[in-house]
Amino acid sequence: MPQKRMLLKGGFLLTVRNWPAVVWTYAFNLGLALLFALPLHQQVAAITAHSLASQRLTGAFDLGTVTDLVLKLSQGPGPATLSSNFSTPFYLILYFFIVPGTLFCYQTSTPAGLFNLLQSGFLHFWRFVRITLISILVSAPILAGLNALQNLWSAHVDLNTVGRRAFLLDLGGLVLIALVAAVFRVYFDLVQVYTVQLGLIQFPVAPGKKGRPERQIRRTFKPAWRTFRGNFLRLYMSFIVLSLLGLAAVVVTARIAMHSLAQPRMWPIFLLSQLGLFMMLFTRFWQRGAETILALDNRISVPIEVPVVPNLPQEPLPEFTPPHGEEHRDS
Amino acid sequence: MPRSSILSPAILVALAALPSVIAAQSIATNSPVPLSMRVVSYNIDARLDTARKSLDATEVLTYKNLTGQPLNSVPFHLYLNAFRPQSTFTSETHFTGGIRDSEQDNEYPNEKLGGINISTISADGYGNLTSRMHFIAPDDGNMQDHTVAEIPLPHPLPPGATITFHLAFHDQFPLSIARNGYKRDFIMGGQWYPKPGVFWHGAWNCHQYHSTTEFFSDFGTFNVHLTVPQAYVVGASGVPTSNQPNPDGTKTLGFYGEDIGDFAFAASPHFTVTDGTYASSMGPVQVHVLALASHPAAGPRYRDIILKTLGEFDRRFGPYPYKIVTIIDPEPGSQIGGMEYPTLFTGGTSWYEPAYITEITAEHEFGHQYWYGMVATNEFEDAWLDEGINSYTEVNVLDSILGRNVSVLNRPYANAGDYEFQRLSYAWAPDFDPVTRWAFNFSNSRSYVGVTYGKTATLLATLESIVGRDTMDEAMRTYFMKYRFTHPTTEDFLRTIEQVAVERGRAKALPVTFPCAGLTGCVADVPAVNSSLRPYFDQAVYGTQVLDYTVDRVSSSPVEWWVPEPKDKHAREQIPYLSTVYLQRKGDFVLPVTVEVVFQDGTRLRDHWDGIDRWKKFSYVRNSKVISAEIDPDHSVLLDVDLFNNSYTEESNGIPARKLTSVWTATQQFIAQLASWIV
Repeated sequence: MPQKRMLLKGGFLLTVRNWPAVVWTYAFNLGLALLFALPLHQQVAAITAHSLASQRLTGAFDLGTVTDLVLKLSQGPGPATLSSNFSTPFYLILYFFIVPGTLFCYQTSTPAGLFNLLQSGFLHFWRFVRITLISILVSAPILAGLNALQNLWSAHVDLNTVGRRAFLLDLGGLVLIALVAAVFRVYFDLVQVYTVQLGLIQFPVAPGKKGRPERQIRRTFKPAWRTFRGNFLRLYMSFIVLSLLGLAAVVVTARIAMHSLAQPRMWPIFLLSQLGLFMMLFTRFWQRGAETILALDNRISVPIEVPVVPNLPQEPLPEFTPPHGEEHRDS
Repeated sequence: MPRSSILSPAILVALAALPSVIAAQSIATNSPVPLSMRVVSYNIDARLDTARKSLDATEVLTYKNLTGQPLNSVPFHLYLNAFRPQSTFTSETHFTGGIRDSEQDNEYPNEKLGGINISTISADGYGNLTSRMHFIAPDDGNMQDHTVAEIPLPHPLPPGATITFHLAFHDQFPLSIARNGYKRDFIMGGQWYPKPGVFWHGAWNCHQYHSTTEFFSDFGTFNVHLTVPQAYVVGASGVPTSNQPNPDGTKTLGFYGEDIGDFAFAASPHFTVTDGTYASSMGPVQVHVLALASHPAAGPRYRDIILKTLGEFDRRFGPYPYKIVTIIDPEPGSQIGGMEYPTLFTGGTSWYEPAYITEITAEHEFGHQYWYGMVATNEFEDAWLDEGINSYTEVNVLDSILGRNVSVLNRPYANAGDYEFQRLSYAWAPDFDPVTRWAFNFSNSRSYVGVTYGKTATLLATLESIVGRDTMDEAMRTYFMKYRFTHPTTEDFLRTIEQVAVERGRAKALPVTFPCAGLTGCVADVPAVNSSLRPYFDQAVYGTQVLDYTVDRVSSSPVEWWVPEPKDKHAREQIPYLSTVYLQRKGDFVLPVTVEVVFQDGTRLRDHWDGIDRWKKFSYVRNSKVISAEIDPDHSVLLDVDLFNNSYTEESNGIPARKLTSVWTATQQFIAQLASWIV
């Protein structure tokens, strides 16, 4: 019988227990952003460091001076602003390594050191790329359709309502799309968890030979769907609550950081914004933890045809190593 | 005595003659005498169909020929015909960008179709002229434009004579485009009736409607009756004169305006009224705000800023002579916000507006009551004289009311000043067009906006630093008082500044030169005043030169450089240093430069450079090193396109770069994290 543990609590414990995963991801998130912002920083510093005009950005935050600076940067020789945007694609590539590694560590109690994260990430990289492509193929038509409906809704709202009410009605449509997108996200998160779980199973290829891991991600769609359907409400609500928590952390810290803009020092802005971003990232890994708990409670059942060869010893069936603190359960 | 008993025949006769009585009593202005030449007189009866967004009207137009010569034809503006894909307006908007809309799609939506159709036109003594009317396109020859129609007269209109036209026309308002049309149940009637061109400088001036142009018209009187559904509230140019309910569920509203050049109205069932009164130096002025119910804070905000603005304009430039100014709060999402008409303008706000956009928009559009409404320059040809001068006065007035560095945003964590954004809008497109270029001949809409609004505001602010604030204020007041209710030109404005500056000793009078002396056929204008300000005007007003001076290098070394520098601080302060400051002129705009050099001992020295050569070296021998040098230490030469290179300080300040990098980095991280949710 599948267990039914508390997702939020179990996910939180799993995330905390594997804290290096989120810390490493945050380090890449920050490191890449800083690295790619370095040319921009140098370009800004070259303009402002020895100019008295920049004093309006020291003990104050004059938006006119900021705009002036943007104008000057746009007329400058190097495309520093453009190159600083490259941190996102690099982060996404790294993310494809770290997430499978994290899910592997979540499910196997392997220490979430960088080496383990990346090693497992290498094994699953292309599988996760394929999952992403499939998720885009599946969700894009539906979300595009919803977006078209949202445009109609916006036009209808624009025609009939104005002011705060119009804003809220329009926002309501967008929230609805976000909620539908979250459904897809939750399902494909589960697919990712099961893909790692499936990869842990050594399937026999021939009598007497060593098994190989399953790499057909399509074999995870059905178990993921079964788990998703059977636990939809609590899984979805956990996901939404954690998403809101992460966004709230960013909004609150950004707002407090914003009020430090006029101070003649930068560390309050930096620390507060980084705190919010770390909390947002943590809630995402918490979501992954909750989904892993659910997948562990509803383990994939693989129909394996074992060839009957009386004279040869059979390969042992694959066995999971549960995370630390988890009781061993039969699948 | 019963009320009915006083309605004697004599009183009824007097009531029948109301329009002429109204005109004699000047109920629309606080002036006992006409303020303008009143070339035109309109009587319009219009019925607005709010369901079809259309209007049917009859117009009686009396035109006085004050041109001093016989007129063989009269051109009429038919502005609403611009809202068709074939028009010059739409074509320019599509290809080079518009002020409010780009119309870059290859499909013109049906709801944006608008137009005006004159079904009949006749004139007393000239018969039916309908068949003689034909479209012309004086600017680009686009015969599909239809925004100007010419009516040749069967016989000339003699000088000093009047002609009375009788027209019937139909308007179809588009979904809001360029200050006009409808949005939801709101309708803005701007440029909605046939209006003759202006006979100016010996010829008819009647340009087509262009994507970047506004309007030009003669002063006159307007007696307008509008029939609208009873649920509608209407704001219009002039003062309201009547409100007559009709049995068919409509009402007929009367408005009367005099010494104004145009008439506009706005109608909505959702207007709420907020009123205020300003006691001007000519008499009381009603501030009449019609704000949308969905913008509950807008009414008081508009009223308060306009009451303060009226005070500033009265004090600085001269009195507002009209009895009313009506502020229309336009529908959100429309292109109707921020537009001026005589005694009426549209504002711009939203349900959440934490900055001063509401106040800036209202102040700017009110300013046009002076710079367009009364000083009625040709907006087609001299857009800088209305939009530019108005942007300049906007900055100064808002500085006084809201504060110099906080007139756009005033928050504890961030601020922004209006003058800076005017300067920046110029700095984005500084050298394509001079401010004097005709509005529809700019290279693109960005250059038009940046130069007409931003550069003018900035060059006049810089002029303040040359002639002094007091002189500039007096020049502006003189210009307003001298040219109100006329159509002045660029030279009229520049000569006024020169005259005042020379009188106050802030500029030198130079011998008047005659460029055409001895040259056959030369017709160049000769300035009545020639002054030391002309080089500035030639570059800033007539030219496209860019002003950029920079502190190139700063250095300080012991005069006896071969002697080792003492380690003791006190001893170091006793040895002489040779300090040099190099200034460079990077742009092609030449302007005298002031530089302030600050030494380690706190001494501040100011030096001057005529700015003509490409560079200048200043040397100082003092017992102290230079710690900073700054060009334009009073920060008054705003025309300089790069303020960062105007100074150099020895002490490095890394805080601005670190702050901005921190914000940028966090933004990039946030984007990356959001993106990772998708994959």
